Amino acid sequence: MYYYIYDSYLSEKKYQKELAKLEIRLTDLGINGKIIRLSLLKSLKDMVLDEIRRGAKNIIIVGNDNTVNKVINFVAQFNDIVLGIIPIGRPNNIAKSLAIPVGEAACDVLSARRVKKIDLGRVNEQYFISNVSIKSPDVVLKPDNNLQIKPQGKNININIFNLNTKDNNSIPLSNPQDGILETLIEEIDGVWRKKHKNISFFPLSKLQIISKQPQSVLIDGQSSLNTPVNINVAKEKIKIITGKDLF
Amino acid sequence: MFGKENNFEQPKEIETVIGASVKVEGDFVSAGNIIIRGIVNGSIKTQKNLSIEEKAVVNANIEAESIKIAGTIKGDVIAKNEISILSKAQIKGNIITNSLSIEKGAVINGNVTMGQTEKIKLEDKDKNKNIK
Repeated sequence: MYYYIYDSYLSEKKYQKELAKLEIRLTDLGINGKIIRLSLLKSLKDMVLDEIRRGAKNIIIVGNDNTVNKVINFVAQFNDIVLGIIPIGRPNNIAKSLAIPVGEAACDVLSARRVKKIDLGRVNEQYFISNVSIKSPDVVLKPDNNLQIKPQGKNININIFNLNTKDNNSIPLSNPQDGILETLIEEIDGVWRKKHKNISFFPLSKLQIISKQPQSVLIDGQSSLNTPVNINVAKEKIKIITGKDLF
Repeated sequence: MFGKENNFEQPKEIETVIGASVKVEGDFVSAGNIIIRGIVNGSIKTQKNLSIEEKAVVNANIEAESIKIAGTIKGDVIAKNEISILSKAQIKGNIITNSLSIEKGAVINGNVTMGQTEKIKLEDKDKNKNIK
């Protein structure tokens, strides 16, 4: 049986038509299931863990990158859960990286059920599936005690990828099954037409990021921590339904 | 490595790029190819190839399988296989290798020793690598 977790923002009127279409498509494909609607009053953790305790094996996240990140942080410890994503709303870069189309079309991906086991990144106590980023040159990256990588320049963008999209040619593509986090440090020029220059790239399995002043760290695109942070490939992996045989 | 069309394709050989956006300090030990376009202070060891590009400034002893140099190096340069020194290169340090080529215009201040590379033991223990 499939368990569909709808993020709370999907209760807005503008999403109702899309959700109705989606539910019809899921029924047509014979993969409809229990719908769990999140709300500000209900704890995501309790709801997800309750369903897992009752035997849920297929959890489908209906929402955006933030929804995916929240759910993986609760299900990472369970190695027999298969996750799926139906991206509705933005940002949805994680689904894009997994070749999952937006909205109703994602139902066919679920139905095809190409399950892949992929790495998860870990930053301090939190998991991430896609990337960790910092937009500041005032940090030091330490792969170990004997090595320091110091960004040079003004508009520095640091990205540590487990999984990324192929939107930007300056970004190397990652394989989320290789136990390596691709660390990209680049300078960004321009406001509207961004130009990526002076690219540095390090394949790492772990690193620490420190700074004199706390710097904001985005996890899967959401602001949630300040430096210092320890980042590594988690020992836990997740099973996830992908749009193509990507890896 | 960059801009490949096939998403998730594993690069044939993992590459590290030290660009002008960073300064690296310390002992840099890698299993893969390295391209340097920025600043490195410390030491560099890799089992694969190393390319020091024109604007790179390296204050470090370096060891690799093969090394191509177009930038500035202050430190000893050891390559198990070959070293290729391009016209814009400036090297202050000793060179040990099996095969050496030098372009007109390159500046070298140091001793050159040929054919003693069998003594060179490039880093090969996983536990010592800080870059994959």
